[in-house]
Amino acid sequence: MAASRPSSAPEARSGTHTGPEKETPEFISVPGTGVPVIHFRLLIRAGAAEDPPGREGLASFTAKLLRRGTRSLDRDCFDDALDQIAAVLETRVQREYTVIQGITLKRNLDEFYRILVDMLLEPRFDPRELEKLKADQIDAVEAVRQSDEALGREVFFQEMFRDHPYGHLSVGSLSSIRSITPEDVRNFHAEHYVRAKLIVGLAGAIEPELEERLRGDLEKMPAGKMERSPRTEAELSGRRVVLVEKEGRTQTHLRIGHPIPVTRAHADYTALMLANTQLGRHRNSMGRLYQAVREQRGLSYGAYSYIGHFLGTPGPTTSSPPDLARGNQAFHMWIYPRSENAAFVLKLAIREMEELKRAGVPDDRFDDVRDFTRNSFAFDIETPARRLAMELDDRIYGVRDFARRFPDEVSKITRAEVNGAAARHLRPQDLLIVAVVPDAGKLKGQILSEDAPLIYPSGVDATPLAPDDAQVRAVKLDVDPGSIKILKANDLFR
Amino acid sequence: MVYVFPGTLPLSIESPGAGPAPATEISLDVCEEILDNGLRLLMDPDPKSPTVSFMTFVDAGARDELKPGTTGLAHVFEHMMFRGTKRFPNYDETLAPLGPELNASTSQDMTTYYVNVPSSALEKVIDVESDRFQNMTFTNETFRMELGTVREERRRSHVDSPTGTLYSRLYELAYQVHPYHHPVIGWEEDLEKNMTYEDGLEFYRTYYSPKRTVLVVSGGFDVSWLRDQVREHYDAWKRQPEPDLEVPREPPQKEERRDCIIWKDDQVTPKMMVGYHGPEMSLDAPDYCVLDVISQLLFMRSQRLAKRLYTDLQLVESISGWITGSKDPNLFIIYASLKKGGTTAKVLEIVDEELERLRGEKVSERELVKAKNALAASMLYSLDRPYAVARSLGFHQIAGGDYRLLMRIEARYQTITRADVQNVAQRIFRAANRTVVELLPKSSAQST
Repeated sequence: MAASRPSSAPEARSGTHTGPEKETPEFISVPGTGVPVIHFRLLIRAGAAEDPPGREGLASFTAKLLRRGTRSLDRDCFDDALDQIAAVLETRVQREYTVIQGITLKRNLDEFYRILVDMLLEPRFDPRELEKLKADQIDAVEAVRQSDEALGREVFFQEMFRDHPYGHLSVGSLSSIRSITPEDVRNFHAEHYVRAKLIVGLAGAIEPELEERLRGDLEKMPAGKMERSPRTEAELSGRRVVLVEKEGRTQTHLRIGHPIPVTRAHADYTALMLANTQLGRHRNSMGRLYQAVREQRGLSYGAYSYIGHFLGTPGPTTSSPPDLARGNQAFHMWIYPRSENAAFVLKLAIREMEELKRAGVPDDRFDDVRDFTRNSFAFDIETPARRLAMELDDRIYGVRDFARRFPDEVSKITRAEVNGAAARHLRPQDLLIVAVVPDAGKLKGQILSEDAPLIYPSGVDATPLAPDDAQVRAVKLDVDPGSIKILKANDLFR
Repeated sequence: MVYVFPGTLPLSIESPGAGPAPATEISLDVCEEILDNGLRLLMDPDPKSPTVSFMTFVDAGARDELKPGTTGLAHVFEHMMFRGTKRFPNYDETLAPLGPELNASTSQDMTTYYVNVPSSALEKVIDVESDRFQNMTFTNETFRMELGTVREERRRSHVDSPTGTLYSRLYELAYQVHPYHHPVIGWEEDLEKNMTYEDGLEFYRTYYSPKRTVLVVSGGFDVSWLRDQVREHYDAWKRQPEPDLEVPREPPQKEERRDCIIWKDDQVTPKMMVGYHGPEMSLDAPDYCVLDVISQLLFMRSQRLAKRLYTDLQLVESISGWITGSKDPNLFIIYASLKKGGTTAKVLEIVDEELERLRGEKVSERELVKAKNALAASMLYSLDRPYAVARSLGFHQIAGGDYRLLMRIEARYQTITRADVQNVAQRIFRAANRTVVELLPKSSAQST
């Protein structure tokens, strides 16, 4: 495997494929396994990154208004029609694209199809619904502020991608939400909901006629062009700390990381994924981070690391759910210890990251790490819906057949390649550290003084760990006082 | 991990409003085997599946924590089960090469362990899982360490979580005698001070017994091979005497109970939970299925309470309701998260109006069909992988006493009438039968 050279065309350096202009949308079909259910997954290749300045949240508004009625069905009738056939039809906005997702029983396909196509071709964009939607979008901002986990994650990515199209909440800010007009929505829809930006995915109990029928109806959409706003790489030099103060917390949610140029389109992706398995895959207890923080010390329920955007979902998955493809990605760690231990756990996380960069995956662990990464991939493509989502993400990254190639690539990879990728792409010297804390001044003082108090669970004999704890305390945070920013949770996203 | 299982999932589909149509069915060919030691094995083979889910359900949950000072012990013990055995001292590393999804959860009634792997790895999983359930060992040191992790989990899911706090307080108030009174994760003082290593040992010896264990395997495997494997690995597991403990019954609630929690910050929006005492999950308690239907009648996007409070009046950012399937009578819960600045009294007033409407007049046939369709479709949508099938079978076996309940409940749904809905609403939705807990932002304390 090559070194750090991206494997795809130059535009894939930022991870997003900009294909040639085309007259008809691309269709991807994944047949099912006999269950009489059909999945639709349509991608419009325009997401929150296309929000105009001052109109942050516009992509999200447009997608959600689609779901609030058509020319022939007002919102109430639209909801009723879907509930009557027990179908699911939702829209979501990601950074690079908008997802229109539908699930229907095969027996109800005709009814569902009519609603879906009506929504795509004849949206209502009712101004009264736009005003109501503003209140709901403000709720979405409040929801981020209520959840410590979401707050830490969103501030992390917002700070990471300052001055970048990713640098705002996808639902917008309180002020931008209030400023959006019906004309903004119509203009966004006219520009982006076009055939050139559309990819259509079908999975489950599908017949060939469905694709033909949909292809014919979608011809009524404008042709349009595949264009998008320019992207730059996020930059981070040195260590920067953002403390988000929120009163009354007993835990501190830590998010630590930096931008990486590696996406699924990059030659180092597979190698870096193995390195991340060694460090701390989501909900996987074999990671070093998890072992050091939770198993050996009992300091946090979770301790994970990621090489891309990740949203936890209920259930057992250790892998990234679909719909999170982004052209610009980040390496990050997420841990939530009790607040008294935050400075120590921060040092511990950095120590584990530095160790991975320095020594790589130990020889006696490599086979396990490789086998886990290869075998667990079966769950990423376990259902037709997941296989479809995987293929659609391929299109966003500008790669082909990832699901088919990946297990073979993992089987053939060498320890040197994995360790080389970790050494090239992990940058513990350049870190953005975001912490949601009850007392920002206290943690700031500990960071600047390199003080790292540690309280073990009651009844635990800490003596055997004392030498290692001393090594952790010796890790230098080396944060300049001018590189620490304190924010109040209540002041965010305004 | 701690979570409450969702309600039951039905098995057949009624046609939408277009008129009657034959039912669509998913066929689950479940094979059952009971070993001499009492261990029950449920097998749902799907030869085409490249993956398999191996689940172990232990009939022990927070409901069984009757000894004072041991609240949360079932969940703590769930954590201990990942601490290894003499033969496989590092559980995680032993299974890691298989690429498993593995974890566990504890609820009021049961503790559930799962290992999902590619089908070719099933033999190794049986070897490791059978060993850890029969030969678990742990020390006081590892027990204390794990209590630390559990307390961190408690901080996240309860102490710093408005919803977790609200939910715990609802059960604490609604149940005065029955152990559903205490949260699955336990009280802080029990985790910090009262629970001992010896309590852990006693719990293991008492409840981790083959008679109280159900293995559920779904996905790609051969039934006769699996049967032989399970016999080989589990036959020697000795049955323990059944615990001589009787779970006290909760007496009928005679008057409304209320509480208001002032939260510790102002980021939170007002929230409210209303819990009505309902039945256990059983066909002998037919109200259970009717309440499942009622949850759809009230909370589907286009139906009564959701439409009024979320869509039309925009008083809530979300609203939902459900009946929890469990061994003993549980609550029908209504949960509303209000918009910032909203008043819980106004939301409760509208909830009361809609519940009174259910009591006072029959729902329309169209509404009823829509609710039944939703319940039926949700099963087809959700049982999309071996793990989901295994989880549902095991849940019904433990909570309802028979995995076949999964199919029978569906048949029951189809018989529910408009009169059934009205009758159950009249019996359940009474003020004296309910508990109301509100949670308000910190600044509310100054204004109240």
